[in-house]
Amino acid sequence: MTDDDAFDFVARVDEHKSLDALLTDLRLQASKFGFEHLILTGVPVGGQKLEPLVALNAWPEGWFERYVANDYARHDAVCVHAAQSFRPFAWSEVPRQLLDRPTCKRIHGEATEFGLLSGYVVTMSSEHHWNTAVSFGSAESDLVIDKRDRARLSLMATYAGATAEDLLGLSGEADPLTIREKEVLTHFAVGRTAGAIADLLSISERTVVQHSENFRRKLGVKSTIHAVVLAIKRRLITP
Amino acid sequence: MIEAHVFSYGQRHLYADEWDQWLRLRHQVYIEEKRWHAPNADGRETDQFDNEAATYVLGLERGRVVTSARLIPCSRPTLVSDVFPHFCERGGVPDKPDWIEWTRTLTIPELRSGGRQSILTQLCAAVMEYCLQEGAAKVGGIQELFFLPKWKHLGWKTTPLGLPQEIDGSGDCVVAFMDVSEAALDNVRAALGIDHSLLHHRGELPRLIDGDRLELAR
Repeated sequence: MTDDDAFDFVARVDEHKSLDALLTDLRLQASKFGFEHLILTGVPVGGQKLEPLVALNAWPEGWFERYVANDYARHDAVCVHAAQSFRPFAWSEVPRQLLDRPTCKRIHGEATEFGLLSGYVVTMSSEHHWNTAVSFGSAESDLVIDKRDRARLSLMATYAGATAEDLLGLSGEADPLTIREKEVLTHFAVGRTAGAIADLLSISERTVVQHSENFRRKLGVKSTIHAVVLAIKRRLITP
Repeated sequence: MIEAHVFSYGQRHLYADEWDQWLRLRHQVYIEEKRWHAPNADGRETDQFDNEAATYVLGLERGRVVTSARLIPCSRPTLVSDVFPHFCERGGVPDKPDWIEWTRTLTIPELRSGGRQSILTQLCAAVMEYCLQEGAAKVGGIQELFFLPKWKHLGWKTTPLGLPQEIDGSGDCVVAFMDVSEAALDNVRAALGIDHSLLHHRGELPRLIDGDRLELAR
């Protein structure tokens, strides 16, 4: 892998008109680092299922099916950490308190049977999901990726992730809430009352209540706390 | 929708109240939240790039500063040229007058959100509109890699000038510049569902690009 490989990939990524073409190209680049497998997916949070969030899937035959059928995303430390990390990380760098949980150890044990021994994850912002991640996997247990290779891989994965969302048409989805509704919802999320919010925004309490009715209706929920949870999960607000 | 007010460093007296609001916000965000520098006794943040070369875009809602951008032609000293030149291994340090460095973008905490019609997207539309109107070719600067997909989702073409590198407290960052084009403006306006200008100015609209320098570069 050279710098040229990475920058050439970035320059041509727009030309891929299908997810298959993008996957083929990304796999070829990943193989230059020693990664045979990869998955590009929205990161599931709050009990979301993994399968509907996946954009590109080149995991080993049989592993993805098992992972989804058993809902491993809830317990796999790599997946849990991907929801929390703003920076790329090697699987081995996931905090020990997550890795050492018995359920997680069992999942990682099973993964080795499918040829997934070490890996690297790049996370990025998403318009649609909590965040998006690319996880690269290798059958080598001691695969060394130096600082420069990490940078190349991170750059390529970030462009691949943004392109995949575009190809899926996800980024075109309309934002359901108005700016004012999101502002009011954010104040609720940090514990303010309708009265306090009205004072802060110099609007009447009645208007605050009207905004709350609107965002509850648009999100299809009955309570403000449920609206807060959904809005955070979908990154509509970031209190 | 925000009102995006454009003024030069020399015109900041026309925005005395907003300017002061903004410097306080900068202190709150860059010093108290991100801890880029030690706190200032006066509770306001400025740096060496707040000078005659800078043009400012402040997003106002009913007189309140809610978002911001600082624009500086790359023919002048910039954050990239003076502090992060080693992030430009691939493309070289930008030095053309019609390449514009974009820095100091913040959104007030209660209006931060990820949606397509966010305050940040409104600011992006204003910056693209002004850059296009002024004949700029590229706009960009140092930014967090994590948020790079934002440009793609706005339909903007972005070119990295080097590999990402870690900066303490900000994670992996990259210097990248976006193409200034009619298409880029159309795409961001489509995302917002608008077809009108967001730009406002109290004085004469400042020129973004130093004309003499542009002639020399061509």
